[in-house]
Amino acid sequence: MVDLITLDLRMAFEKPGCPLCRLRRETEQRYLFHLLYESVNDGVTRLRLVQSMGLCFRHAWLCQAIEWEQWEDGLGTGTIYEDLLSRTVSLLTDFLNHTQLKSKLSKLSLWSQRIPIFSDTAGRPEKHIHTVARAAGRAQPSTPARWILGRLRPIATCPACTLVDRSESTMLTWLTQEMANREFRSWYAASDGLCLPHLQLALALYVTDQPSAEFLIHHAAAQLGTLLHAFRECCLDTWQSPQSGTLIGDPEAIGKRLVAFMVGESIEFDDSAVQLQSQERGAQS
Amino acid sequence: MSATVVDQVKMQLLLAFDQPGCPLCRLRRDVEHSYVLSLLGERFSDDASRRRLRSSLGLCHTHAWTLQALERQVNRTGMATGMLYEELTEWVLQVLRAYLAQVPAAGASVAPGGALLPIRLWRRLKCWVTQRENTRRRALPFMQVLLSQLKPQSGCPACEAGVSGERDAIENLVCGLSDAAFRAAYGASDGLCLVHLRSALTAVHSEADACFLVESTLCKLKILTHDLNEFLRKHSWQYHHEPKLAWEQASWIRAIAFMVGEAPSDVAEHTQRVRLQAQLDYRERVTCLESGS
Repeated sequence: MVDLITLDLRMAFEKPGCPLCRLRRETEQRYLFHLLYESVNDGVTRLRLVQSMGLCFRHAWLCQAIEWEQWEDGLGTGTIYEDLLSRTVSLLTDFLNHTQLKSKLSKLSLWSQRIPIFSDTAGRPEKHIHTVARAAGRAQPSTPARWILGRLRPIATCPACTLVDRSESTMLTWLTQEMANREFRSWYAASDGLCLPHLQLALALYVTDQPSAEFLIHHAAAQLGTLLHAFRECCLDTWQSPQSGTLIGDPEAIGKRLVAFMVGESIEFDDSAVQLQSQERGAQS
Repeated sequence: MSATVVDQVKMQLLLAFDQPGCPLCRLRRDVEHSYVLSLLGERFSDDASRRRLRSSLGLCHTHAWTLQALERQVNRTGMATGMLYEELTEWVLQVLRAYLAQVPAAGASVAPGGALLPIRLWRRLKCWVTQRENTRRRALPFMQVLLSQLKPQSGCPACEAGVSGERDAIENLVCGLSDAAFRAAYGASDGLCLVHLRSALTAVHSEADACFLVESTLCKLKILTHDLNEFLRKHSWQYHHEPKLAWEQASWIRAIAFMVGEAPSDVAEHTQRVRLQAQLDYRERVTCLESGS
C-alpha cells in the first residue's frame, strides 16, 4: 500500500530536476492559486496577511505572475494589497500626527517652565507635569523614527513560506524514512536526485542511518560525475570542431544542470502546471 | 545644486530618481548585475575572484540564475557559467567521494522484495527515537565533517556587493536630504518602496528628515491607493463600462512593488514585459500629475 506522500515523491522522481525543488514549487503554486481562487475574502486568511504585511518578496511576485497567467487580471492580488496599502497609509499618517503632537508638547514643556504656578519655590518644575511633557517632547537622537519603525515591521512570517517549509519538512522526513524500502530506493535511483541544498538539509536534519546517507551521497556523486563528464566532452567538442554543427550535447543545458545542482532549480514559472490547472477549472465549470 | 563635489553615488541616485520605480531597488540591482557581469568578464580569469567563489560555494540561488540568464542575454551562450560551476561541482564531487571512501561499507538493511508493515512501522519508530542529535551522531560517523566541508565559508559575493552598494546609497540619500535641490529631485521620483523606506528611516539623522520621507511616501501612496480603488471599482458590473486608465490597470502591480520591492528580473520574458509596462504606465501617471494634466 502506497501513501499519498510517497506517491507525490514517486511522481516527482519521474520528472527532471531535483524532486524536492519541484514539490516545493508545486506547493507554492497550489497555495497561491487557491489563495486567489478561494481565500481572497476569507477573514482568517486576510488577518494572517495583515500580520505578515502581505507575502514575502518571492511569493508576492509569484502571486502576481500566477494571477496574470491564469486570468490576465489583478483583482485578487489588488484586493489583498489595497487593504495593506490602506493600513500603511494610516500608519504613516499616525506617525506624522504623532510627530506634530510631540513637537507641540515639547513647546508646552518649554513654556511651562516659565510659568511660576508650575514651578516650586526653588524654581524647579513640578515633576508630574514636566515629566510627561518632556517624555512626549523628548527626541530620540539615535532613532528619530523609532515610533514608526516598530509599527512598519511584520509580526508574522509570510504564510506561503510557513506552509511550504512545513511541506518540505514532511517530504524530507518521508523520503529519508522510505530509503529503507528497496522499491523506493529504485525509484529514487532512477531520478535526477536531490540538489546540493536539499541534500545538505536531508543529511543534517533528517537522515538517521548510515546506509541511507551513503545511498544519497553515492547517487549525488554519480549524477555529478556524469554531468561533469558530459560538460567536458561538450566543451572539448566545441573547441575542436566549432563549425561541425554536431555536438555531443548542449553545453549550455548541461551548465544549467550544474547550476541547478549547486543552488536548486530555477524559480521560473512552470507553465505546464498552469495549463493543467486551467484544464481542471475548465472541466469543472 | 550647491557648488560642492557631487560624488558618484549621489550622481547615481539623481539618475535613478529619473527612472521609474524605487531608486534604491534599481541601484542595488544595478550593483548586483554589474558584479555578476564582471564574473563573465574581467573576473572570469581572476584568481582572487575564483577563490572568493570557492569560499562561498558559488553565488546564491537568485544570483546564480541571474548569472545564467545574463550570459544567455548578453553572450547568447552558457559556457562561462558552466565553466565557473564546473570548478565548484568538481570540488563538491571530491568531497562526496572522500566521504564515501572514509566510511566503512554498510551491510544491506532492506529485506528483499520490500519490508512488511510491522517492520516498516518499527523502522519509523526507530527513526523517531534516533532523531536526537547525540544518537544521530553515533549513527552517522564523519557526517559532521562532511557537512562542515559543504557549508559555505562566506556569503554570496553578489549579495555582499548589493548590500554594500545599498548602504552607500542610503547614506548618500539621507545626507542629501539637507540639500533643497536634492529633495526636489527625490520628490519628483517614484519614491522608495516600503523595505527601503524602513532602511532609510533607520538611517535618518533628524526627525525633520524622517517626516520629509514619510510625507513624500504618504503623498504617493494616497495616489496609488486611489488608483487601486478605481481599478477594483471598475471590476463591478455597474462600472465596467467606464474607461480603464493605464495607470489604474498598473496599480495592483505597483502596489506589490511598494510593499516588497521592485520585481526580480530572472523570470520569463512575458512576465517581465508586463511588469516593466506597469512601471512605465505608472511613471507616466506621476509625470502627468506634476505637469498638472
